[in-house]
Amino acid sequence: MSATVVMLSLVLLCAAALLLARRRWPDDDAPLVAEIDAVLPQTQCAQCGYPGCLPYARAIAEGAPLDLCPPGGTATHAKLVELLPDRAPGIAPQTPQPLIARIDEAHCIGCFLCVPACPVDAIIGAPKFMHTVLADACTGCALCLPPCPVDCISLRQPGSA
Amino acid sequence: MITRQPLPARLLHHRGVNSQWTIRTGDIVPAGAPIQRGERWQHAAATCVVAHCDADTARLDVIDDTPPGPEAPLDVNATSASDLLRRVHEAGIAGLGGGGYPTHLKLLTAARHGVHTLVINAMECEPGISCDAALSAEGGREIQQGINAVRRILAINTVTLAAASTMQVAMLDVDTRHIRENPSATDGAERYLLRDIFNVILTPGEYPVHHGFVVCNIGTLHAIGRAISGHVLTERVTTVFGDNRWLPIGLPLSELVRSDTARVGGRLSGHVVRVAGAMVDKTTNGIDTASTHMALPCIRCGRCDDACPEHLPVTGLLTFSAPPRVGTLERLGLANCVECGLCNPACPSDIDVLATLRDAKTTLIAERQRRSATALANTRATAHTHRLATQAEQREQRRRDRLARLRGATSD
Ligand code: SF4
Ligand code: SF4
Ligand code: SF4
Ligand code: SF4
Ligand code: SF4
Repeated sequence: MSATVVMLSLVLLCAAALLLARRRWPDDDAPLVAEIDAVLPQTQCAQCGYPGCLPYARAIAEGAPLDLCPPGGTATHAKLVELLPDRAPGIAPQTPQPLIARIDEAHCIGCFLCVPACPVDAIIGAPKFMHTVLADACTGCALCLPPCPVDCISLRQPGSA
Repeated sequence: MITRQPLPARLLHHRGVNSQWTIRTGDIVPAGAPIQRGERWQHAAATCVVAHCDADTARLDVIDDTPPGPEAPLDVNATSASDLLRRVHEAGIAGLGGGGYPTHLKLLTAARHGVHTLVINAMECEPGISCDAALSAEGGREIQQGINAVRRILAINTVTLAAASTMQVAMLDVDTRHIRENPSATDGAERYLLRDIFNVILTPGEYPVHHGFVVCNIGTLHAIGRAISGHVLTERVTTVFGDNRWLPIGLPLSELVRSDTARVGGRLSGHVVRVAGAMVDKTTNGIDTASTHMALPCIRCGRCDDACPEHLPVTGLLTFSAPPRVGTLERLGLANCVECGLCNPACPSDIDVLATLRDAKTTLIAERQRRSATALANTRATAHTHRLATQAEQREQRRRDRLARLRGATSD
């Protein structure tokens, strides 16, 4: 009788431990993607070949190389390698200078083409009105430069006039 | 007697946080004219030509050493609080005790929280620094004017003076006085002042304004007083090798020190800096020779832990500081280090614990900024993707509706 009780309580204990472990260490990949995304610089520039940081994070989780993000530079690369030690590290990209966009407001024709191009909605303006860049939100991804028909957007160092 | 340092041939300036240059290379700036506006104003100490100005630094060549003439003085009792505050802002007043935080912002925050007591911090307790004591002996009138101005700006009820016994503050008109013989090295920190005098305990992240107090350094009050009588802040009193001197802001350290490195600030909490390219700024309260000693390895004796007034696990912080492990340092409470420097003299191995922790703190702050910037970009990118998707969906819906209407029309 006592043997049954002991065995039964052991079974219950193990079940509880397993449940707890599952809760603490869930086995799906979603947290890995989130972890990778947290390491990426969120410049959203698509230079990695994926349309943004989150898509690149998903790709890395599925096996894409670790050295495709230029804005992240050596720091991001080092963190990715630390996060995924059993992957081929590749070659760390050089850390670029931080830049942000500026619209030359005297030349802007208000065509609105740059607004949908900005991945972080850092440009404000409306069709036929002057447009401007929110310096705090701009990540310097340069995606707004090509669409501008009058080439009035340029990148500058934060803080310079 | 405070002597005056002659003007150098060249002045160096850094651009302050949230501030913009008003000068370009080649400009001529008259003495006392602003060279920087925004959050932190800065003015030229003499008439200069701008030899170089880039995004972050500027070099001015002095062409005429006549000191800046005063602007029109304000009458404290006949001027509105907002005009007095504007004068404090535009004269470039910042915390001269070592913080360097813009005084108008401090007063604005205080006004928003509603404060009842002004605490004058004259506790100058850092060994080797005596600039406030020297100023109290010669600048009583200006200090009083500064007190009156702050009293009016914030509609203060009570002015409390907390002073070391070396201060000559007998003639100041204040409501209560706390005079301390030989204050210890941390007695001047805001949080310890409030604890000792008012029994108010600030939790980490809390400031005196949260309890109705505003604490001003006596040197800052002097500068406010001078601003009210029309003088912009272009010089400060600094203890240079034990003597007190008026130094122009922007004076290259190489004018004062011959060696490669120097200690800026007090003997406990100062920094050792490279002299080349360094300059006197509004926070420079002391300049001394840097001791050149060799540190021995840490023997984990724990004396730094015992010395820390914030009860931080200093040995642990040191272990995780080189290279810095940001997450661990954050959990151990590095952000609460008040940079008092008491851990340094406690160390039998002569390790510059404070310098190591300061470097780690810089990394920690940069990491926090990076985190908040990426969080912002992340949120905005998600919103952007969502917006584009919604718009595309709406367009598609409209197209389908139109198509359905057309089909309906043709089938009729
Ligand atoms: S390359 Fe650009 S889009 Fe790709 S992960 Fe790096 S920052 Fe993000
Ligand atoms: S404003 Fe231009 S550079 Fe800045 S984030 Fe938007 S698209 Fe990129
Ligand atoms: S694309 Fe160029 S011209 Fe068009 S709105 Fe943007 S900045 Fe102005
Ligand atoms: S400098 Fe920081 S760690 Fe050192 S004693 Fe002071 S509070 Fe503690
Ligand atoms: S006092 Fe010096 S030797 Fe002792 S634990 Fe602290 S750092 Fe190490």
